[in-house]
Amino acid sequence: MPMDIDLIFKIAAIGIIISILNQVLSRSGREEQATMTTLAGLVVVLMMVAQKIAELFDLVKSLFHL
Amino acid sequence: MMESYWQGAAGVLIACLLAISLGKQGKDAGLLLALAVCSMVGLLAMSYLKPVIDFLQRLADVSNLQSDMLQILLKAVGIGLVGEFATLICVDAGNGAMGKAVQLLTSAAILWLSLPLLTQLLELLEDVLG
Repeated sequence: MPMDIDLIFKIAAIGIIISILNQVLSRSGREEQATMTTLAGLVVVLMMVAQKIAELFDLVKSLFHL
Repeated sequence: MMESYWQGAAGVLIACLLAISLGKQGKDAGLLLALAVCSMVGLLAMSYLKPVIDFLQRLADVSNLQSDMLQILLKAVGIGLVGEFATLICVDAGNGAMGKAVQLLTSAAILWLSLPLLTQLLELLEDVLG
């Protein structure tokens, strides 16, 4: 079962984009938009991560007969 | 199969570097990145563990060991692994109290799971001592 390296790069890229957008919006005085952008990005990443965690838990459940 | 090990180790190192590069601004994304990497490495580790567990099952069959015993042990290992994973993530996120709570939950679940074994042991002791 090969590891999905693409997901790591995807999350890191979203993190970098969020960070840049946050800086730009904060410097231009749009604090609220910066917060909302950060939140939206985190939700997107969380959706991806939650899928992986669910996959892991399902595998552990089936493997250890839980 | 061995290739996926090297791939996993390299992936973790790359993710570590990426998490550092995210810095303080992307602290939340860094934590989620760690969570994703831990999940993926966990999935990879489970794929290695599957043949080992099958072998243990076969060993138990050959040695006429009660299958219930092995099942309880395997369940305890599974719960312990998931609990440890959750605890470490909580501690990394700076929520030590939540980590301890998960640890407590894991210990309680394992104790509850091993109750039949403890009951059998108690019955055996009662038989031996008259």
